[in-house]
Amino acid sequence: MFRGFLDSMQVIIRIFLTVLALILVFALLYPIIYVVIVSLLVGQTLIISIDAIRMGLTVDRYLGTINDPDFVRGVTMSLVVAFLHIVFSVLLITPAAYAFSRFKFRGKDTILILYLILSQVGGGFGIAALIALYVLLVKLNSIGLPVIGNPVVLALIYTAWAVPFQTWLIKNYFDSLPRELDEAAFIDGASWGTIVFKVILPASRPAMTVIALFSFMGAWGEFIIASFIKVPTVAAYIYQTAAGQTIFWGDFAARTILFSIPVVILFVIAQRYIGEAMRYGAGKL
Amino acid sequence: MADVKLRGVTKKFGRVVAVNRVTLDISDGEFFAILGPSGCGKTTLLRLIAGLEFPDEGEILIGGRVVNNLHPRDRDVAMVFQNYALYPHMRVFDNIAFPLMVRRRELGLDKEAIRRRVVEVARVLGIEGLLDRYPRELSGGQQQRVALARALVREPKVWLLDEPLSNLDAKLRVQMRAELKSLQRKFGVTTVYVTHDQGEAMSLADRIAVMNEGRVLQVGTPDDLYLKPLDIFVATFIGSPSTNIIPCNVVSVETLELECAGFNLKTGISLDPGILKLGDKVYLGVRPEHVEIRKSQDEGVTLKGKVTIIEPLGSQSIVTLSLGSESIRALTSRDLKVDVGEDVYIRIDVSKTLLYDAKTGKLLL
Ligand SMILES: Nc1ncnc2c1ncn2[C@@H]1O[C@H](COP(=O)(O)OP(=O)(O)O)[C@@H](O)[C@H]1O
Ligand SMILES: [Mg+2]
Repeated sequence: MFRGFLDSMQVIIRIFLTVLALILVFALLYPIIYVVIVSLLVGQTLIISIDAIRMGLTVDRYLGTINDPDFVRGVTMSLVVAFLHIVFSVLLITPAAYAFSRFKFRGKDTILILYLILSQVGGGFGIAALIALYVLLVKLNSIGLPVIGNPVVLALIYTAWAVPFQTWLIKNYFDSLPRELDEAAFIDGASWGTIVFKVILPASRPAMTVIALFSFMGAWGEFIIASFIKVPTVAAYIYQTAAGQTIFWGDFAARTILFSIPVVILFVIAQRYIGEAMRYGAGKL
Repeated sequence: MADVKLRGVTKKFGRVVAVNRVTLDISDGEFFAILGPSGCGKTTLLRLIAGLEFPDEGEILIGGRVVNNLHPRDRDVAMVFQNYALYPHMRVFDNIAFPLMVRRRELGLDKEAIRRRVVEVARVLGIEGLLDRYPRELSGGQQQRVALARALVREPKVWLLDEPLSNLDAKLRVQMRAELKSLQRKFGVTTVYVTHDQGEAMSLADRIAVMNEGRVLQVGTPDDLYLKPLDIFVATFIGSPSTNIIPCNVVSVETLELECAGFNLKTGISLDPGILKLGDKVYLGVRPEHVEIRKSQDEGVTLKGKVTIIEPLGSQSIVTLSLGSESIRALTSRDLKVDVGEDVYIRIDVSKTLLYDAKTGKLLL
C-alpha cells in the first residue's frame, strides 16, 4: 500500500519536473524560435500573426542570403579576421602567459591584477577606450598608415582586447602543468621558443582550444569596431543592414540564424574542453 | 665522463636555507647517493648541480670546470625527475628522442642516426615494444624506464636522479634497483642519486652523503655509515629498524660506566683522558641487531627487561623491550619464542655500541 503511494508520488514529481524543464527550455529558446519563424515567413514582418503565417512559409530568405555576394564576402572576411585573431592570440599571448606562469619579475603581480580588473570591467570603460581607439586609428590613417579597412589591424585590436582574459586563462592552465616538464626540456638544451611552442603549448590542448574558440567568437560576433574601421565582416554587414529606412525583417532574421550556426557548431565540438579550461580561467594568483 | 665537486655551496629561499655550505667530492663514474628526510634539501642540491638553481655561495665543478654560471645545456647533465616529467603529447619514441632532436645540429645527427640511438637505448631498458605509445598508456614502471631512457640517450657526463623509484610499488622498486645499478655500471656514468630511503641508498650507492636540514652530516661508504655513524642523526637514519638512542650519564671515567634510565652499564672501555668527565651527559646508540634477548641469566648478563611488543618480519622479529624507564628494540631470530609481558634478560654487545655527545650529537667513540 505504502510502497504504491510512494511510487505514484515519484511519478507525479517526475511529471512536474519534466513540465518545469520544458517550460524553462521554451523560455530560453523562445527568442530563437521567434527569429526562426520570422525568417521563414513570406512577408517581411517582425510581428508574427495568424495572417502572416497563413500567407505561407518559405526558405527563400535563406537562399537569398546565401546568394547575397555581400554576405558571402562578409563571411570570408570574418573567417580571415577570426583566423588572424587566433594566430595572434597564440603567438603573442601564449609566451606572455608562460612568462607570467614561470618567471618572477618586477611588476608581475601588478600587471596580473590590472589584467584581472580589465577583464572584468566592461561598459563605460569599454566605450571610452573605443572612442580613444577610434581617434588613434583615424590619426594613424591620416599620416598614411593603412589602418582603415585593414583586417590585420582589426585582428590585432581584437587580440589586444583579449589579452587580459586570455593571459589569465592560459597562465592558470600553465600553472597546473608540472614545472619539471619545462625543466626537463631546458636541461636537454631546448630554447625558450621550443619549450613554449613544442612542449608546453601542445601539452595544453584544452586551454588552446578554448582560446581559439573564444578568439573565434570574439572576432565573429564583434561589429562595432569592425564598422568603425570599415572592415566588412559579416557581423558588421548584418548590423548595417539592420539599420536604415526600411528593414527587411525576414532577410535580417535569416542572416542572423545563418550567422549563429558556426558558433553553435563550435560550442558542440569544443564543449568538453570548455569546462576544463574555464576552471582555470577564474582568478587564482 | 666527469667528476662533480661542490665547494661550500649554499642556497637560500628567502629565509629558508635549503642547502647549507655543502662540500662534496663525487668521483668519475661513481654511484653517489644523497640520503635524507623529506625537506632536507636533496632536490635543491640536485637542481643546483643541474643548473636549475643558482647557488648563493660556493662553487660547483663538473669535470674540473666551474659551472656556476653555465647554462644547464652546457653542463652535459641529464636529470630524471621524481614525477618523470614525460611529455604527455609525445609518443615514447619522441620523448626519448627529444634531447637529441633539440641539439640535432650541434651533435651532427640525422633522423636515421637518432632513430638508431633511441631504439638502442629502448632495447637496453626493455621498452622497445612501447615506442609507439603515449605516456598515459604506460604503467608506472614503464614510464620510469622511458624517463631513464630519455636521460641516457645523449650519454650525459652526469646522471641526476631524484627519487626515481619512489612512485613505484614495493616489489617493482626492488627489481628496478638492481636494474638501475647494472645500467649505471654499463654506461659508467657518474650518478647522483637522491633518496629518502636508506635501504635504497645502502644497496645502490658506492658512497652516500647523509643530509639533514640543508647540511651534509657524513659522507661515506654504506659500511662506514653503518659501522661508524659520526652523528647521532646518521645513526638513527641508517639501518632498519633504527638505532636505539638511550640518554645516559657518565658515572665512572677510568673504565667507562654509564648510568642510564633505570639501569647501569659497565662498558669496560678505557677512554682517552679528557674526552669525558664525570657527570657528562651522553647518548648511547645501540643497534637492534646488537641487543640480545636471553631467557635465563647467563654469565655477564646483568640487564633485565620486559617484552612489550613483538613485530614478526618473517625470518626475524622486532621485539620491543622495556628496560628501566626506556624502551629499546631488539632484532631477534624467529626461533626465539617470547611472549608479550614476559620478563627476559638482555645482553647488549658493548663493543658495538656508539657513544654520542649529548650536546653536539657527534660521535665520541
Ligand atoms: N623554489 C622554492 N622556493 C621556496 N622554498 C623552496 C623552494 N624549493 C625548495 N624550497 C624549500 O627548501 C627546502 C628543501 O627542499 P627540497 O630540496 O625540495 O627538499 P627534499 O628534496 O630533500 O625533500 C624545503 O624547506 C623547501 O620548502
Ligand atoms: Mg625532493
